[in-house]
Amino acid sequence: MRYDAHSGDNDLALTPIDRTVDRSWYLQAADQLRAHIVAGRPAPGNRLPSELELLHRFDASRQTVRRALEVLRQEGLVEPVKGVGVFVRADRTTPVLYLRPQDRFKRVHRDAGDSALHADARDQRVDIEQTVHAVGEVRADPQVAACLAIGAGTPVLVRRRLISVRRRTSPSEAYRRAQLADSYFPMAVAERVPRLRDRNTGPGGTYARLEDQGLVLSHFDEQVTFRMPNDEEARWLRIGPGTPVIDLIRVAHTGSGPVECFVSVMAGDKYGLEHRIALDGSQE
Amino acid sequence: MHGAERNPTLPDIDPTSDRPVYKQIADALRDQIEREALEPGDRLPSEATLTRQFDTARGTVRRALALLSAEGRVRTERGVGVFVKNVVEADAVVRQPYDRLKRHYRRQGKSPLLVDADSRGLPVRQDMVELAEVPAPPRVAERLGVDTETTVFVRRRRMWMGRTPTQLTAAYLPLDLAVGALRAEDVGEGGTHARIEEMGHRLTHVVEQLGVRMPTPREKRQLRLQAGVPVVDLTQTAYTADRALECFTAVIAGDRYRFEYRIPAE
Repeated sequence: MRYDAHSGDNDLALTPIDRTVDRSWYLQAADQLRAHIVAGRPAPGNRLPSELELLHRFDASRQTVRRALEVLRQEGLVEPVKGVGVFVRADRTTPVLYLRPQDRFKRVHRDAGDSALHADARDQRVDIEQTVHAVGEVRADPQVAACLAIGAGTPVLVRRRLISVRRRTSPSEAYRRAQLADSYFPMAVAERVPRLRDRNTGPGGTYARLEDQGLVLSHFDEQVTFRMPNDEEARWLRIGPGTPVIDLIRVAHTGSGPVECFVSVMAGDKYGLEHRIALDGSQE
Repeated sequence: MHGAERNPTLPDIDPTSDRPVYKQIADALRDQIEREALEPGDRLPSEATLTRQFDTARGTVRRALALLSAEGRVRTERGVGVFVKNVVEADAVVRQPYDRLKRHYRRQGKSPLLVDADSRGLPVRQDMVELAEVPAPPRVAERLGVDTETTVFVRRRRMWMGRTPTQLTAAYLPLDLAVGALRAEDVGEGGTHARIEEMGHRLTHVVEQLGVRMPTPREKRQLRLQAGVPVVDLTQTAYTADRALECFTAVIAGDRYRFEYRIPAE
């Protein structure tokens, strides 16, 4: 998000806290600011009036104003930028990138050397940066074990990636962290496809390498849930309070069983999901 | 229905650590939850007990509990205590977008919401919120391919499954389509898509987009959400071969659903 430090909107209609009604002062202040933000003032990406300005307008203490701003932050409406001010979030309703699973996993993309993620990103004018930060053997936790139909504690190969995104329309912006993505493979698959241990798995990504070695994919099963991040995830993804995450677990199947369990945590302000669901005769 | 208060063994605070004490306390409790020493329904030790155990100030313990609450890990019952909760409910409704819209369900008189509710054997009911002609909001206008402010028909409802509200929905229709049952309070068996097809339109596909965000205070109240529970913001547009016929939006309780997709690799 780009911030304009000089965009503070001091013309918002704000009225002093009403001390005769039965609603906490900080909540009254939050209510007034929220009503303006939802109506588009200040516009997304712009700055709220300063704390000092707000405490004058609300005729309230600095503590009350700070609590009101914290409420709005927890709701994901505003974001403080250290030393600059508090800004209305621009990315709250429009994700940077919609994942389009039922297009992105088509073999045509792999054959063309596009990984699933890159196929989505190119169509939506988004740049992707990936860091593989660990490749190694671990013992499968119960969830991964269940996905791969193996016993918990069985050794598996894991590739851990951190994915960042940037809108192509604003190349001056920095990449922003968007997704923690861990892929787990049974050891038999890892031995058959040695390139899974490479940091860069080459054109078409890991799914293309599996298919090169005759592990032809039949389908993917995805399970998606929604929650707040824990502290560690928030730190990794650099998201503050008020930004939930999407949990996505995907199992890649061949005709003879699962070959990969993909466990991903996606920042809710960067990613959305888009599915095109056919209703024609084949769906009867 | 509440589990007993558990007193798990908690580690000491490290006073030399850079990590703030309230975060260390939250870490210790979160760790107990993740290792299932504390299970959903269990009551945490009281504020007084935790204050004593960690040898800290009460305010520090409160900040730790507030953090876990914002993460959706615990819920507070005023005057009773703080309880461990599932981040996503164990008996969450299963929503299978590629299955629920199939025509054969409509022929059996089942709307997509009924198909979802069947995954848990729950009855569905609705509060009608509004039936009205309104100017199309920008995201609806864009999907229906009309100018913003074009008048459209909207049906707003709050949907319940069993005893819990699960979604706030709004179905927008172009005015030429908003006739008969599609304008009535009860759309009838099979839902909106069934009525649209009875009028002779053949639906070809639906595009469903979703994101996740925190609820507004109003949404939180209407869906009776605990602290630390996000909502799914969903837009579903139904098309015939030549135009968009319906734009449906829903704000869905994030902890009451699990979405499942099966995607071919071809």
